[in-house]
Amino acid sequence: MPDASAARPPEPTDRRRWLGLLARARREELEAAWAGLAVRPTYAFLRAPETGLVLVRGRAGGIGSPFNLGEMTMTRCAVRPEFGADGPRLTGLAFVAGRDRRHAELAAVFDALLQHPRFHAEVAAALIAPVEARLSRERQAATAEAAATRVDFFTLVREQG
Amino acid sequence: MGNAAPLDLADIGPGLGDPVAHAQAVFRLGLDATAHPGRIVELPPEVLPHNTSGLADAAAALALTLLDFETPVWLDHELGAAGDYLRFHCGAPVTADPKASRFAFLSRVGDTPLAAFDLGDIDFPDRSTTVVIAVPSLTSGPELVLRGPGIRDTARLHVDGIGREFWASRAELAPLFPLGIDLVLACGRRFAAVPRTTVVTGA
Repeated sequence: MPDASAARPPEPTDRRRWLGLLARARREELEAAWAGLAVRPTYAFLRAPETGLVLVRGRAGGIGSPFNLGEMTMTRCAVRPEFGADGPRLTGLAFVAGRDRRHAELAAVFDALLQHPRFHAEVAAALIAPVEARLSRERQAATAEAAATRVDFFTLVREQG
Repeated sequence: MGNAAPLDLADIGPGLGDPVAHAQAVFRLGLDATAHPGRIVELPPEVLPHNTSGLADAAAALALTLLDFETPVWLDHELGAAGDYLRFHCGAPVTADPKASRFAFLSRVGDTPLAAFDLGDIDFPDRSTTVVIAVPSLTSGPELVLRGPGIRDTARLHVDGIGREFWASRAELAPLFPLGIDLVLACGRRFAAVPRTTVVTGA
């Protein structure tokens, strides 16, 4: 198993970042990236896509006592791609909002591929970077729209006298 | 539950291929087995064809069907490695305290007496530990004669790997009814149930 592809485990923060991006990617973006892969490994389901409810909890300011914000629909999936006898044994996970099972499936597959040094750069360039750019553009557009309607309140100090 | 160690997923195998249909099929088998103590039932071939949990196929299928986050599970030493599998697929917490468990999986009998598990309480006798024991054979070994609800006259079951002392210690729990321990004997892809109401003799 330890050949060139024996993986340096990804930094937890890297993986957290791409898991979030895969969850927020559009289904079409995932399908296009999957179709565009030079090599598409086969994979088995460790846990087939399944939809359920999760309780979303929050803490005010990130430090207050936890409270229940509400429940949301979520679809999760776990896959084990087949990288051959010498390949690493990697598990891809996905937790995505909503009930799109295919989205969860593809997101889990890409999570596994991103952990694999042979696929990481390709997937990062073809999928992660464009998704991140799109989300950033959308955020900027929303921010700009909000900024355009901003009203600044000035307090005029009454002159003494 | 929240403070359990992170799971290492690299060695975890697949669960039920079709969770709803397969769990229903296994649940039906479990009902048949417990309603007819001593009857041997067998998993259909499509259920869990590649079991890597460390548990017997039948035990693993029952676990995947019955366990969830509200059923603490106890594993004996040999089966400890199945803990991650059950945590991942069932969300079941693994407990080291047999009294706190709803299900227990044993690779053999003798180390932990049945009375160490939860017999239920008088208001809720159903809240007992269901004990699943892996046995080497359900067709050879000493013959047991079973009597009790669900059995017309008597039923016969051959069980290998479980000694006379075990059945004697189980019989000592009978006067505590409705408290008690329901047993499942798992051998490969087959299992039989011996619920607390069944009187076992002839061993």
